Amino acid sequence: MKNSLAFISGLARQRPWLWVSRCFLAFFVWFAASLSLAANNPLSELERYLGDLNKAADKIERELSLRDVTDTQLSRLRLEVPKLSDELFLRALQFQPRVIEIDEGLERLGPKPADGKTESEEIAQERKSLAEQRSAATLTLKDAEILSVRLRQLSAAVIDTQRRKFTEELMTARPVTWELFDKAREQAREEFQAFRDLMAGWLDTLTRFKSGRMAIALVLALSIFVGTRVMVRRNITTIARLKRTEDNPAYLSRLLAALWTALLPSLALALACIAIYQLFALFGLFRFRADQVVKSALIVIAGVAFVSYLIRGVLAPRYPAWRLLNISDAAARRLSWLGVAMAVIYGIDYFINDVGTLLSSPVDLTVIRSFVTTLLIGVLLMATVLTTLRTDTDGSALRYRGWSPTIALGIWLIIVLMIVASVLGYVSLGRFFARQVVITGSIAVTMYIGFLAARSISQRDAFRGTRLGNFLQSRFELGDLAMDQIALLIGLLINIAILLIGVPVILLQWGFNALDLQSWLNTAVNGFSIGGIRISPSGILIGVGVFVLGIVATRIVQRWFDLKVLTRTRFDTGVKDSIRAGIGYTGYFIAALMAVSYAGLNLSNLALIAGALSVGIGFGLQNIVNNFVSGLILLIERPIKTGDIVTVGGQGGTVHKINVRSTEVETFDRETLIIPNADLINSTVGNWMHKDQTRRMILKIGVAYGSDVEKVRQILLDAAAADSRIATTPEPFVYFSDFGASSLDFQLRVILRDIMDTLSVESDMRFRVVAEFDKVGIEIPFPQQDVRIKELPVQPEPEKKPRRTRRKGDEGTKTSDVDGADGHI
Amino acid sequence: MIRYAVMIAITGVLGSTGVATALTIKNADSNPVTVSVTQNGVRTDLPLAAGETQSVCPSGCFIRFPNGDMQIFKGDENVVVQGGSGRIQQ
Repeated sequence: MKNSLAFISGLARQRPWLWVSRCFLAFFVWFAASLSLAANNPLSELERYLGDLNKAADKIERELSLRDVTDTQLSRLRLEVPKLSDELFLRALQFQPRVIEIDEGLERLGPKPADGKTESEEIAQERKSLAEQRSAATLTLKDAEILSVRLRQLSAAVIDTQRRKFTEELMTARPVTWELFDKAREQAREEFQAFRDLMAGWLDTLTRFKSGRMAIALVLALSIFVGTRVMVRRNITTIARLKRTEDNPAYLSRLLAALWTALLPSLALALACIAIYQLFALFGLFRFRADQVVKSALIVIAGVAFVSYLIRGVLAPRYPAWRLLNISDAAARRLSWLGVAMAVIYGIDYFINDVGTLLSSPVDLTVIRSFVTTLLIGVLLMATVLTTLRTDTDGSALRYRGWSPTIALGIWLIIVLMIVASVLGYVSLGRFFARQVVITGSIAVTMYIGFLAARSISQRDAFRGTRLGNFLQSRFELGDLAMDQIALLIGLLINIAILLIGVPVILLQWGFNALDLQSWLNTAVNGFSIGGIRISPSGILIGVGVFVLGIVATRIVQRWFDLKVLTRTRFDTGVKDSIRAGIGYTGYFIAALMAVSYAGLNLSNLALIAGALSVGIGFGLQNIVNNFVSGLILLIERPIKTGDIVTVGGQGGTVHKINVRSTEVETFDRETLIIPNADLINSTVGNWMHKDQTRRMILKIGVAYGSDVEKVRQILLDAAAADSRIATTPEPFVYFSDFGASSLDFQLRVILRDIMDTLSVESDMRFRVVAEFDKVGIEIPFPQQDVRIKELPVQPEPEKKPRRTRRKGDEGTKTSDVDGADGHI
Repeated sequence: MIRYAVMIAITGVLGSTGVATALTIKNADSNPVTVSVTQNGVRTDLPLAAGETQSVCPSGCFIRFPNGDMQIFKGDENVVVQGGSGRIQQ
């Protein structure tokens, strides 16, 4: 102590500032360490969290056990519990690294030494401490696990209670009797009185004391409404071409028109409603409960208006050409009235229900209200179905073709059930049916219209008439076929989108939980296991997308290389083709690899496939692989290239294209030969253009005995020299080949500069030679035969003229085994 | 041709390398053990024969090892059970 003091004082004496700074540093380190220790103790933090969560679970359990737990409460719990469960897992998961650390520490220390052996005190101490930490961790994790099980059970209990309550409510019969009506009438009067008191007082205050502010609010809201309305009107006429003057608009235009006519005015009205509510709230014009009544009324007004606009847009009672469903004018008129009426009844019911809840309306009244609503809706629905099923008086078919008897029967059944249930006293059940029929029905009809739109788009030539179609066609210079394919694709996408949106909405409507749907979606997207195999649709989709992108990128690189690099080189077309194809194969290969790895598939397992495939290659794919590899060899070794004139298996032609498996050769008769690449590698292939474009041409000619052979030679050589297509080195050469039967046979042997000129040079030479021979009187003889007659017949016949015959192809001129090598056959 | 090659490749790949990301648990001991797996609040006992490997809980779970230790897993780890305790293998 003394020493250390002396040391410190010594230090301080030497460099006081250094000493002070060290002190600070030490303090800082200690402070930081203690802070990090506090923050770094996830175990206690997790424990605290678990304690809180346990309390939350207790509370939920209590809530559930209450008899009068409401539907809203249950719905909230149903969302809340799984959320808690997820959070619990995530919080516990944060704890994983710490446990791994402890485990690793224990592992590093090794197992406890056997009895009799000792280890250092330090190690024993550390092992003990780590073991303690491990068991503490296990305890906490166990708590978390138990809690997760508990939450799961709670979740199940919530769903169970919800279901039970729902069935209970549906199955409770409250017989509708005259007494009930009387009671309800009495209650209704009282409730109306209460409502009037509430509203009258409020309105009175408004008009007498706050009229100025109210006027301002109303004027503002009105101006918003009028403003949007005007804007919307202008847009409607321009966007949707809603002057409705066209006689036969495309289905898509009709659909857009319906949507715009429904959406835009509704939007204007909704904005105005929101404005009224917000302005009233802003100006302090509301009083207790009045705001809720106003809100409810505004919601009903906006909702009913939207539904009415939609119905009128879809059915277009006054504009038959713009109708989305194939029904008559009368039916459209009737249906739109029925639809609007249903919306209004629903709206009123909704409003009264809200006000009733506000004023805690008695049960009897609620029962009677539901009863009346259900009956009214039932009757309207019946009228709707009757309208669509009946035949019109003027003979035009009112019946909608889409109705199948089964669907119609189903709808009838539900309507009857609805009414019967209500009459028997199962008012909730009837109301439930009514709600399902109307809401699910509207969603189904909306989806159906969407499907119709998709179908009409994918119809031949329908898409080209639309604005988008026109734009695409002019922008990308697409052909009709491409447009058709795009239309098909768009139709398919629309169908998928409708299903993706519509089905979840219907399921939600039927009481499925958003969370269930989400988890289904998760499963569908993130994958599910079948046996040991995990299938991940999103992964596969991403993989396919990556592959397509890879191919597009390859094409772009290929084109760029082609236009920017290869055109500047002096490679011949064959080399360019090889390079292009090489880039393509590499790109495809990389794209495939990327796709596979993006699809979430394990590349290390590819070895397995390679093994499996090698067996396949050995048996079935041998030929294909052989040809593929041969194709690669063709590209690298280049015995033939595109544009070469080749002879394969006795047939000659021009190489058109070298593919992966086969090579296309076009004969001079314009027949395309598809030759497997392996044949080109394994058998003898004659290539006239392998090294250069030249070829030897032999022109055979015979002259009569007695001709001046030197002159013949000179004429032939002159003729050759006169043609610029004939090479001068090696120089043309006349070969006196034979003393033939009736002629002296010569051959003019020349080298052509370009094999493509074969036919024309041959022909021109003959013309020239014949002309020159004629000038100097050299004769090209026919084959001649003398016929001697040994004995004369008794009766002399008319004398036969000695005849000169000509053996075909024997004499005269003849050349070339490659006929037609000239470009112009 | 490319189309066929791609089709064959994709079919092959999908067919054999479907196993992507599930937790695998392997018993490296010479005698059978049982671990308790709790996934989404559902507890199941998972018997593992000597040397056996099983694929479980892709979306995470708690696992209790034969020696009583408990650990939490994200769902993509490779776990080896040895001497009653479990370790994550990298």
